[in-house]
Amino acid sequence: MSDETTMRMRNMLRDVMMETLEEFAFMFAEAGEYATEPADSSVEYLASSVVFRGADQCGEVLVALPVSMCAEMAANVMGMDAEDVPETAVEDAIREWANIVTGSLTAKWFGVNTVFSLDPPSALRGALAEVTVLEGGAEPVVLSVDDQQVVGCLRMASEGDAR
Amino acid sequence: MAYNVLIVDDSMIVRSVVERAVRMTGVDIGEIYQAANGKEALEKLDSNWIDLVFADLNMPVMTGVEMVEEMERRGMLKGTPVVIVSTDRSEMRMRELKARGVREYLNKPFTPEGIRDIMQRCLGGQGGPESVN
Repeated sequence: MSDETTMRMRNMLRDVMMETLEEFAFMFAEAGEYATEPADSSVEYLASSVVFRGADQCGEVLVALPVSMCAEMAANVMGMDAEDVPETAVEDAIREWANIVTGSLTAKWFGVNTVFSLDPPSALRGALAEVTVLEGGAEPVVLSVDDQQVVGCLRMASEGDAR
Repeated sequence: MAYNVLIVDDSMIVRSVVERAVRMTGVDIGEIYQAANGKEALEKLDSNWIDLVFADLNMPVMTGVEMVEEMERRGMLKGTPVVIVSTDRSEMRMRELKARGVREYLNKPFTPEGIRDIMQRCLGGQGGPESVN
């Protein structure tokens, strides 16, 4: 993929992440800068990735948020206080957001006349640098929500290169 | 008349949000059943009277497409409207599912108004626009 195409896809991923954060979770983001070691290195992150296939292409979208922000996301979506959110809903929230980001990104990039299959979202907890690794992926997209990093990564390949 | 609704999604959080949106419509709702996949949904359909189904597509065990195919095979789609609620925005997929008998298609993320409008269309205006919040 050319550098220009990669840049366009990263910009699209950034826009989709911002739009869907607002629509899905009522969270408002602005562009941020990537720091693998956030100011508070004890912050635990939760990441979710979705593999997609279609149109002779395959790829993977990964999104990562601080765990505390995932709880806030779940609370916003469910319309309850963060402390009342069940633990299972915290991972569920980021999985669903990863699903929404991937569905929206594939439709915008490839058009709505292409059928894609999306694998079930995975979830992983850890330090930011550990959970945002996508082998062969483009440089991460970073948003800032309340001064916390929200990270998106994208990996594209032809179908034959699917993992 | 109260309507029974079945919500099918492997995500607990989505089932919860759809249920909340359904209850906000102002339509008279009886029971709201939940299922985490198509197989569980078919079991609920076998053992309960269901007026409307909201179903995801990508689910483990049995997908939404497989569930719709089974409902079509059993002749259930004419009597029980199915609404697909999915992140899949493919118009080709929408056309295929509507050709099978799926009544409506709603993209995630959705708004409560989207759920309300679909319920009004699927339930024949029962509850009426004037009774909807």
